[in-house]
Amino acid sequence: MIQSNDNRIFQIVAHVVLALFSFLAIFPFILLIISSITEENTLAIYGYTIFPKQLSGEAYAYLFKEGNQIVHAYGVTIMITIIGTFAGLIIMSMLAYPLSRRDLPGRKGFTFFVFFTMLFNGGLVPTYLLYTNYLNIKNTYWALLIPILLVSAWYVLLMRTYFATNVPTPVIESAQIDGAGEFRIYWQIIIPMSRPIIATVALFVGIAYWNDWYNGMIFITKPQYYSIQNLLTRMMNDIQFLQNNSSLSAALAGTAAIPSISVRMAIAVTGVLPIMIIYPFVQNNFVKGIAVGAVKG
Amino acid sequence: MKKGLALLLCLMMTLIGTGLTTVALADEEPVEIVMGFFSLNGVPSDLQMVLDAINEITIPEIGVKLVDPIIDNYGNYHEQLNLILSGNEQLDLFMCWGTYWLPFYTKGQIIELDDLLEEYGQGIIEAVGREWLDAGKAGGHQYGITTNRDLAVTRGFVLLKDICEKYDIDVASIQTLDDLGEVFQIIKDNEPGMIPVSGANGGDKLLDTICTYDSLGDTLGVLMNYGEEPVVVNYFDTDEYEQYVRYFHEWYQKGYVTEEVMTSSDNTNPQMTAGRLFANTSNIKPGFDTKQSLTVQRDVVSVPMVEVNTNSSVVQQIQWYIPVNCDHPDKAMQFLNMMYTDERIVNLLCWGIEGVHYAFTEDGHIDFPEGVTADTSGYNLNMGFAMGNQFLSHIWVGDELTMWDDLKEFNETAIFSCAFGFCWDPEPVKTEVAALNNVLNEYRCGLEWGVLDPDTALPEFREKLHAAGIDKVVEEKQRQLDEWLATKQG
Amino acid sequence: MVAAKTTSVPRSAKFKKYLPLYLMMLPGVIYLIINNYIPMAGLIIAFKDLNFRKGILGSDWIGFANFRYLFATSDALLITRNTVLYNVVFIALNNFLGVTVAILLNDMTALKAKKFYQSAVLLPYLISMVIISYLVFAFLSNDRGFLNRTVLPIFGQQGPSWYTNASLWPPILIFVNAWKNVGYLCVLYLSSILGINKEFYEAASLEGASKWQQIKYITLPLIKPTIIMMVLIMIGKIFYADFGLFYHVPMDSGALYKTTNVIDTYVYRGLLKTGDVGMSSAAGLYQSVVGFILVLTSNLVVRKVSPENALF
Repeated sequence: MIQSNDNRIFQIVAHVVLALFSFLAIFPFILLIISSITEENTLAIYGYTIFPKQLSGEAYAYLFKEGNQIVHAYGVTIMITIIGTFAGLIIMSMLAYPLSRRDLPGRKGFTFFVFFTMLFNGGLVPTYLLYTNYLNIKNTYWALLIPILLVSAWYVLLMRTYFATNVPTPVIESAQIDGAGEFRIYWQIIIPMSRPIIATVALFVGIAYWNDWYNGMIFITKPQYYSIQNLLTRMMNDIQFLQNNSSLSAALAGTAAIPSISVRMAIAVTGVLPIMIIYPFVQNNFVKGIAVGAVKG
Repeated sequence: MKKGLALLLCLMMTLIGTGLTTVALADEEPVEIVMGFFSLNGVPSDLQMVLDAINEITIPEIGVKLVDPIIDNYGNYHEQLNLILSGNEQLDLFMCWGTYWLPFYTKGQIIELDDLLEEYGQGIIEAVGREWLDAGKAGGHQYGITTNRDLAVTRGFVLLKDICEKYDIDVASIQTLDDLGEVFQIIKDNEPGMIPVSGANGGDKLLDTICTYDSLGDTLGVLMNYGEEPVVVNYFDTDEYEQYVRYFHEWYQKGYVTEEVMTSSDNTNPQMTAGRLFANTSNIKPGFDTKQSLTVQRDVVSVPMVEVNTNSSVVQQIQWYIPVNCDHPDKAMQFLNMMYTDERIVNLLCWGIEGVHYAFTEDGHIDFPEGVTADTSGYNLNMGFAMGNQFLSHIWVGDELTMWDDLKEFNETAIFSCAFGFCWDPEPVKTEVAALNNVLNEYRCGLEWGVLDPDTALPEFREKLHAAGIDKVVEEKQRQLDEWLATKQG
Repeated sequence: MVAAKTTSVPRSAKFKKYLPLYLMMLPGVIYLIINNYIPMAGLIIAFKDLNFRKGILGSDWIGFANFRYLFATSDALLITRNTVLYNVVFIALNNFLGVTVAILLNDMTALKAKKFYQSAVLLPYLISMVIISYLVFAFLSNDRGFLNRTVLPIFGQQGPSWYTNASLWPPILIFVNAWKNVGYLCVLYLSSILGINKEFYEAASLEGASKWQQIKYITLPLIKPTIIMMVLIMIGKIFYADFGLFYHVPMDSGALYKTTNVIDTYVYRGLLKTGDVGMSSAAGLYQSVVGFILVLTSNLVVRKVSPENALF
């Protein structure tokens, strides 16, 4: 490709702007990691610094003192994330494709049906009652997988818009003339031609499952079902509770283990680090997939 | 819209139809009881082992078998309770913190215990005493059963002992705020980098440490002077409040307090450990200094600022309740009774199994058995204050062997509020209370730590309270209190 | 709502033709009914004086009493204003930055750098607001913060007391929000840009279109549907505030409420001690209904201006 003049300027501007954005994004992260290995007294006296006077791995020792539980919780999270992302993607894209078809009778009604769920929800108690008392998913793995996360109207609409703008109607029509059924069109034309959005939604759904603590908070009370975020958020919620109930912290002085700042930072790092490591690989595949999709398109 | 709603309700109904069926238990079978309590250290891994040991006692004696207790971290537990009590899951007996039980009472989720207590709970009455149990009453009926523990309170400042010694400060002679101010000035002058006094946002503020009112649950309308007279007062309008707030603002201007209290969400103990902070505030009870010194990892000494006193809110902090979900309230009460009378049950719940989770030392304390530590122990709940009659539990190494006698004496010396046993029900004024809570959050921390300037912030605060309807709340509280007094005397 | 077009095909044949499509939608539709629509019946709690002895259905109707606390306060105007204004800024700024960064990323020729940037901008999206609040505190703390201790002294400036100075917070909150969410929007828009047929650009290049012209006449028009949808949906959420952002990040400091109190934090603080389910449902319903009306109106406008981009 010949570098035109304005392209060169564009590249320079892009580098400057993106480098700035990246710095802003990464710097606090470095601070986060460093605080998690800063010695507690140093943190108390000097606050957060990039070059702390004294380092310590105590926060991680504290977190991992029940190492088995953390490993198990990681296992639960990984399993739920993979299954949830996969199942969610299939269900959502199958809902999105018909909605992208302008000729589908009732399309606007169905779209509205999907959209409506983004604005209104019954709230915590009714949702809990339905899932617990009638569907009996409390303290099962289903509880981490199904409620709230599996289908998000937002991603359905996003995919619908993508399918509608990026898959030309003539392509579908000619496939129909060739005698392809709707399932085949969906699977062999729509999905391959829409890899960027599929990969993006997969990424976000995956992150949502990975970071989810809410389902575990309300549907899980048994430690063997804790996901990593459940384990970690429980500690953070304790801090929150003590803040709102000063008399409890006074009464429990010396009894309750209140995680120190460095432990909280270690909690954040423990929760996030695995995705940070995995993400570049996912992204690699994602870019490759897009290239393949583009060829086919 | 209405039609759609009806349709959805129908759908819900169909689902209910396919729902649970409860199986009636045969008479000889032990009744399964699910208890719920929060935990400070997660769910113990040896929980089932301990339950089995308890069941060995309770099945033959009262026909109760404990199964699948609901245990969660305290930060999550109350939300979980709220959900469970909204549905029909099994829960027969639960403990909860502070005022969290009030909505359960107003929404009809817990049952009256008067008759059950008389019939099956004589051991509880004997152990705790009727006068203390009154704190668990609401609307004239018994709902909560307090545990037997420190049922009174005093508050004060906690100082670093080595620093006091360094400057020859005679802690015993500190009586008033002026005395304390002098000490803080010494710190300010001589210890650069050390903050004289601090605390957490939401924690006990300077004012909490010296005020003597009975908060009647939420400080929206209080009884002055340890609840001496049944006259509900808007505390924030009193001269006392203004004087204190001005006094603390002077402290702030002198640099005894920093703005950090507005944001600090932390327990300040680590700051004292690190020597960045000289003093913080706390509840104080017998044995406190020893225990707190262990936590801070430095010797500390406490200076109580108020008399030992008590009121309903203090006692209500840990109580047990029986929810409507319970199918066998009689059995639940029988088990609860054992938690107040049976030393074996109390110690199993508190400390686990002897020889496995704890062992006696030569002088009669208990400690971890050899080879076991706090981290490896399979049952390290450490929640004696919650498991019925704490005075029946063994004493852990580090506490005085006379601790229970000291605590009993502490309780007995307490000044009682005249509204002891009165329970404030905010339901009729909940609109105002919601708005008022926001106003309190906005100003109290800043004013009561002295950070905000009382000249501007105090009038603003008072005006906002009136606008949000504090007068109506005070009036309603007074009405309920009068009503309660009338029935009590009548 | 159904787009009834005059066709000669009989109804049954038409239904048969589209049956596979309806079948594909079935799992998703069933899920939404169970997960979203059935619990919506619970919204009646907002109009009830909930008492579990009587059951949810049997509890007394009390009309709008549960809603009163949202308006019976001198702060009602303030929290509504804060919520809406912040959201308006967030919608405009975040989408603008998201699209900009996505375009810059897409046309970047250095592949390694591109990958690095792309990973970096998404990082903040992965951390929870509670942790972000600690990071913000690390920068702004009065005597231990990065700004007041390290950065401002370099310029000979003395740092303000950040957590007691309400007027400083609108820019801080806007910055933090953008910091956290721009990466997410950027990746979404990027996927949309990647879907654009490369031939368009090649043809434009051959005809001598400048970079800016290509962006203006190809990229932006082609991702317009996504932008419009994004904005519409954000409008639907305009009465909801990100609780973590407004509660945790300012550390719940009372002195900042003038610029940090929003509907969600107001409700939380108001109900924290009483835990009233009816009142919290009322707040949620109020936020939803207003958002719903706004989004319907905006959609109507979009339908007038560019019908093919309307949501429904």
